[in-house]
Amino acid sequence: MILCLVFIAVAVTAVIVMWRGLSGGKCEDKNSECRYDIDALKKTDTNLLIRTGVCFIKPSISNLKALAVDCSDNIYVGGNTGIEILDSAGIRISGFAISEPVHCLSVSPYGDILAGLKDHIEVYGRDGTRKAVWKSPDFKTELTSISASSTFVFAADYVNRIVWRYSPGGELLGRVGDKDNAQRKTGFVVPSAFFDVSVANDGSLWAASPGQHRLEHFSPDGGFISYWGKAGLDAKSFCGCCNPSNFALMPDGSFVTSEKHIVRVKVYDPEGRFKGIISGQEEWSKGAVGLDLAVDSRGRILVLDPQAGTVRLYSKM
Amino acid sequence: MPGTCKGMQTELTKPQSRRDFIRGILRNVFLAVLACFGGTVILRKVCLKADGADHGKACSGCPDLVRCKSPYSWLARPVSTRRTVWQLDPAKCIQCGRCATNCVLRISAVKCVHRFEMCGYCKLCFGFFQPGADTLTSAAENQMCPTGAIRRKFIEEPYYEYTIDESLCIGCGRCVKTCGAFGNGSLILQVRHDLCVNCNECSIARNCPAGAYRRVPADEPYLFKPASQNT
Repeated sequence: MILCLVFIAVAVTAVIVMWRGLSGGKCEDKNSECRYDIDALKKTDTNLLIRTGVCFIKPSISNLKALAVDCSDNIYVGGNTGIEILDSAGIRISGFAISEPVHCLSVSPYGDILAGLKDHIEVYGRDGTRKAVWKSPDFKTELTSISASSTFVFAADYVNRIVWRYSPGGELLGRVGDKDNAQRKTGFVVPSAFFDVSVANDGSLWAASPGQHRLEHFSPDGGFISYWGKAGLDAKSFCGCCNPSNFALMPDGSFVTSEKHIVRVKVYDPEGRFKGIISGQEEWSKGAVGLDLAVDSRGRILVLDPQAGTVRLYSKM
Repeated sequence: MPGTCKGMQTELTKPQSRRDFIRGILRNVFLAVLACFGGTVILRKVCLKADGADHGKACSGCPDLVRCKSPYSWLARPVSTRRTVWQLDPAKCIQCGRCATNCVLRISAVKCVHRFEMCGYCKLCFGFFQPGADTLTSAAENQMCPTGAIRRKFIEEPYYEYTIDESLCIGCGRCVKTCGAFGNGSLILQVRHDLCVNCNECSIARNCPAGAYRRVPADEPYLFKPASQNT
């Protein structure tokens, strides 16, 4: 009788062990979930953070897409419904409606507001009066960035992977960054809808080539000068398939860049050497993307957060 | 009262006469027609709502009929489209790796699918290369895919085309995870219906931690993220 009970107990134990083994334990599932911990790659090294103060500005218009600053440090934000003008402290001055969503925004040295709509540029005065509508350069054009100097206006077109060069009056003068197989010029590499340009103090053009993880420098007439930047997951490099998504030039010629995927805002010196991180992934929502940048004359960095509908203003401490 | 009981017993076991039998058939047909009619009326009420599929118009010819969430919409559908199959919603998928191990088939019916219209044809593709790969070559140690199912083909400098060899793909979703985390998210997992045996209770769906599996109409068996979600 006892022998029989022992035999049954052993048999039941064997069945339980086999069943747990064959069905796969929880441990195995846990390991498979943790195998590629991308979140670990997104942690910011706190030693690289630059100490800054931050304040949040909440414009009244929704679906923010574009950000610009004029020479008087007034802030311009563009969204689906129009453009809003704020003073340097973030207090609303005025605003006006536009029939189409604003994709990008710039303020010319003459004080005109250049609004990049899907495929063309419209020029507005500060009171909201439309001064001009520039003709679309190409039927496929989708503008992602505008920057203006006193002599030229540059507009980045991510579908054609080209920068259009205009006169301040709106005459199309040429293209910058054309692909040329004969001269082994690859042109801009723009895998997604993020392609930024910025004019330096000397009138030369800086343009991002996100697919090559670099910023390219051109003379005002569109001749290639140089580039800097490399791909990598470390803080000094640009991560992912296509970064920097946005950048801006500081008054001293330094660069502020923003990246997607691993969301971070970083500062590089005028030679492209890494200086530090202004803001890391931890300060942003997981899906934060399209962080447009602007820098005012005092060196304060403005970052657009389209998901939260705010503008963050970083200033040195 | 005994008579009533006797009558009920007779009705439950067999019809009293041929007339009662025909009457019963007619009654059931009438109830079925009434149910169909009621279902259609309810469907029309749903569509009359502001977010209704066709804003109160008749169901026939409605372009959203196949995707209509109303439980009665199947009444208006052609018989051939009422069949449903299992599919994985890429918007909910968290690439946990269970699709590779929980399918009843020896090699999972879930495969990586590449949406070329979303792809950037990047030289540095995070679906193909391990994050932090030393060199951008197709050496095995640089590749993300454990079975080498992604083919990398040079197009022109600096563009490369990536294609999936489905005979090698096991549906682990590693490439999908890194493509979504660092790239445009053009790689997604999908149940391939030339392989899926369409179990009544899908073994992967039962174990999916994200609840990404659902039944979809057989004539629209794939779920894709819109190309506008390109990041």
